[in-house]
Amino acid sequence: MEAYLEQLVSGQPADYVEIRLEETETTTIQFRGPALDNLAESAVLGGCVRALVKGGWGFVSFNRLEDLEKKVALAIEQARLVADRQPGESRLAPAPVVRDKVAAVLDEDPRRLTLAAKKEVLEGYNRRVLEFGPPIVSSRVVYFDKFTRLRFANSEGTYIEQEKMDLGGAVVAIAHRAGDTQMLSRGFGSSNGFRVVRGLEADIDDACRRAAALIDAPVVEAGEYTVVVDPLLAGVFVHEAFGHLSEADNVYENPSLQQVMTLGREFGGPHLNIFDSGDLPGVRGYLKYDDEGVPTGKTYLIKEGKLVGRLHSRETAGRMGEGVTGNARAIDYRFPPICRMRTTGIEPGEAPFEEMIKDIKLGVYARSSYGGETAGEMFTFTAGDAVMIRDGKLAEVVRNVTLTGNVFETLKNIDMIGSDFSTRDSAGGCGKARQAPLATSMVSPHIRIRKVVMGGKAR
Amino acid sequence: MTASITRGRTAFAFDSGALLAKARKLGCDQAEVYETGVVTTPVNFENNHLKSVETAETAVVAVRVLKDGRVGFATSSRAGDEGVVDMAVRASEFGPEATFEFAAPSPVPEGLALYDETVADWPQEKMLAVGQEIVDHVRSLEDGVLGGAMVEKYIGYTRVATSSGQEVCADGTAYLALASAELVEPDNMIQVWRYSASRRLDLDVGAMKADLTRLYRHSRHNVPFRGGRYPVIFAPLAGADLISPMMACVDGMAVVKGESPWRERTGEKLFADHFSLYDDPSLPWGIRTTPFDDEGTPTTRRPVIEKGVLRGFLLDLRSGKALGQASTGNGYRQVPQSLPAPRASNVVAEPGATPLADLIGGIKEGVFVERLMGAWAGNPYAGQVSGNVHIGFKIENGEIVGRVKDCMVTVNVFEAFRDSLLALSRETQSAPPAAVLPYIPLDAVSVSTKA
Repeated sequence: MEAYLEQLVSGQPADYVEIRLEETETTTIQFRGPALDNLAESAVLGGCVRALVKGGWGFVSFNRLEDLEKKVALAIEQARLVADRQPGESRLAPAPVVRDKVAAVLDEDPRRLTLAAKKEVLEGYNRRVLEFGPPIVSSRVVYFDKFTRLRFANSEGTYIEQEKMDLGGAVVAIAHRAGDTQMLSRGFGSSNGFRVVRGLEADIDDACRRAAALIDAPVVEAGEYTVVVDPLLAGVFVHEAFGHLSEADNVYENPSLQQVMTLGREFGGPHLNIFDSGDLPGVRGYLKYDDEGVPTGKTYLIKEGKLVGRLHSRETAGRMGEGVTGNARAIDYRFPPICRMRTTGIEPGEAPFEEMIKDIKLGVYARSSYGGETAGEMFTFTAGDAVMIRDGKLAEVVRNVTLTGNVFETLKNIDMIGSDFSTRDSAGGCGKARQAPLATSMVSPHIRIRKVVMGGKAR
Repeated sequence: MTASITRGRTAFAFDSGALLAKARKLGCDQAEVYETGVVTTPVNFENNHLKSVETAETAVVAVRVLKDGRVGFATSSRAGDEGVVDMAVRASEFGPEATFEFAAPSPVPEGLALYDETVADWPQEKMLAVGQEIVDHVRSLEDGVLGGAMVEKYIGYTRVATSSGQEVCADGTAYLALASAELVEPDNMIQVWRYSASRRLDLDVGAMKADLTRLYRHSRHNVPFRGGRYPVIFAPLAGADLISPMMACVDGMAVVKGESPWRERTGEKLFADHFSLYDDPSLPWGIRTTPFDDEGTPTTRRPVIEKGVLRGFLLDLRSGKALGQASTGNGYRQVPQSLPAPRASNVVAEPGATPLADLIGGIKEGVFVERLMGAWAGNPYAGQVSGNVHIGFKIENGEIVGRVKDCMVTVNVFEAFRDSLLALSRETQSAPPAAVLPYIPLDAVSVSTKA
């Protein structure tokens, strides 16, 4: 196979050609209420060819693996069509020629667990939620593990075989009383095994208590607040607030955005350090090589408050005269790689939690996450639940906390960064340009942000 | 029974008959084979120029079996794969209890509009010309504006066959056109989009360009805005975020599982008289128009909310059985690899009689929201929708006067559609993924901004 793939992409009439073949096996287990909802197995076999001719790209994806020569020819023909209409220049940043075979290193291999064994663990969690008692009336448990064998070859001589594992899930407690349904979720995820699924009992109890507390909790009053954000939500915040804007495919052909995103520009205080890393082992965002075969590493986006880097594909790095970072990713063989995050995070600071809340007269402690969205300089992130801070102390639980901000102000308004640090993984993932969900992770300490606009009930 | 629908030009990737026979041989009591094959060919323009031309071909088969009282489910994209039946049988050993049966033979509606030769025959050259026209237009708006466009056509088929003898197949086409304009200033960014999609090639590039121009011009000037309660007009793109909690609450499985707050409320008046919402799988050329759902059950247009009254739930085979009712033909798979679950086809809200211009003209001070950001995140069963106004404008004395930024709107749709729903527009527009909505004005919406 190795020799065949290499021969397919070499000596072609194109500036660059790559081929990716992918085989995956996925197990899915879902409970909804007391009953098992779904237990499924899924197999995928597919591949794609991408070709570059004079700055124009052709891309062909397929799941019939015969006639690969024809797929290569079609990708080149399409790239040439683009180039003929609009001749440009192919400029890919140099990347090392890699020859590697990567085996997954796992703590507890889900492939060695029987379906019955996995089901039993999850069933236990499901029962735990249902036995919590009123107002918890229902539950959801979702779980998947996915093994991928990926073969990649390009016309520069790189050939990589990678084994990847992606595992994710969540246990959701659902509370209901008098027409009001509320819920809270405990997510988990891993790139190195099943161990992350074990020992969640205390966290699940916490999710049940918090879902119960949301019943009868008032909707937060709309307005501008000082907000303390827990590590889970802070992870979503940094992903939405700065991660997406750092993706260089927004920037490389946009001269005005290049000015806005000039390296060295100050975006926050000297205590603010933001990074995106491919080599944090164990989290879902871990990957040794991206989908262009580029080795990943840790990329600082903001160091001591100043912009120092961005997330590149070989094309965006080449056009901007910067180095490759290993951020070109595709959710699967059906899509070409584009600039994406891996594990994005804020580095810990020095503030203990008590220090962060003690001088807040009226504020909000926002926890856990439903997700977020970004567009241009603006972003939103939605908390799972929240607690009012009154006169320096945690007070009543409130619900429906969606926060918004813009990159030019909000990062500067981060005035305290906690000394703790945790990882956020879940069953979901990141979406961009119709490619969702992509396995990304978030890591962060608690952070404090002043002047955050929050939706809610008008005062 | 095979529906008499024109076969397109996509060859079947799997042999349903062989898969059903294999399931029978392996001792399954019942089996269902769903397969879909799709070819999409997008052309992409980014940053004012043609960037890529693509071809994507996928086929997936999904098999469900009932064996020894349990359900097994497996999917495969390995062309011609018969191993998928073994996988399903293996899964059935630990699978959920079988509480329902697969679709029995039943005729599906004929003559629905979902396959258009002109989409199938749409030449790449024409698709490229559409993209180029959009990008050229966007560039002409102002120096420094970056235009983007994606033009795509889709040709595919869906086939469902069950061991009880239901066998249905339909070919479908669709096009999708996306147009965007982006401007970056030192501390201000503008991104506006326009979207058009249909199973028929009824693309009006001129209208897309005109809409994009209007949105761009309105966005060009930011105006200050103070938080409070205001009348707000939600354009269809934003309106879809308001409708989505309602669709979550009529999901039959959410009803069965006790998650939906509406489970005891069928026949009750929940909303204002002038609000009616339909699930319409027969909508001519609708993006989700289909004669049968992904379980092979015939589909039919049905009211979800009629004159404010909750009419019923969207059911698949499982949730229908659990509620003692028949499937409503709403068993759809979110992606071919997912289990069928209750889901809407085309969601259509009945328009009103008031021209949009009069709706805007009647507002002294308020907001026009084109698109919300982040409003999908949150608990749908509580009816709370909270989002950043990504593209929205201030209305002052009946006129749009400029863009509002850094501002959030929060709506409890359960209360607002009952108490504060003003007259709906007579104009409708489609919004992704498959809604056709009028402009929805709500009174006294909570709007929060910077202090």
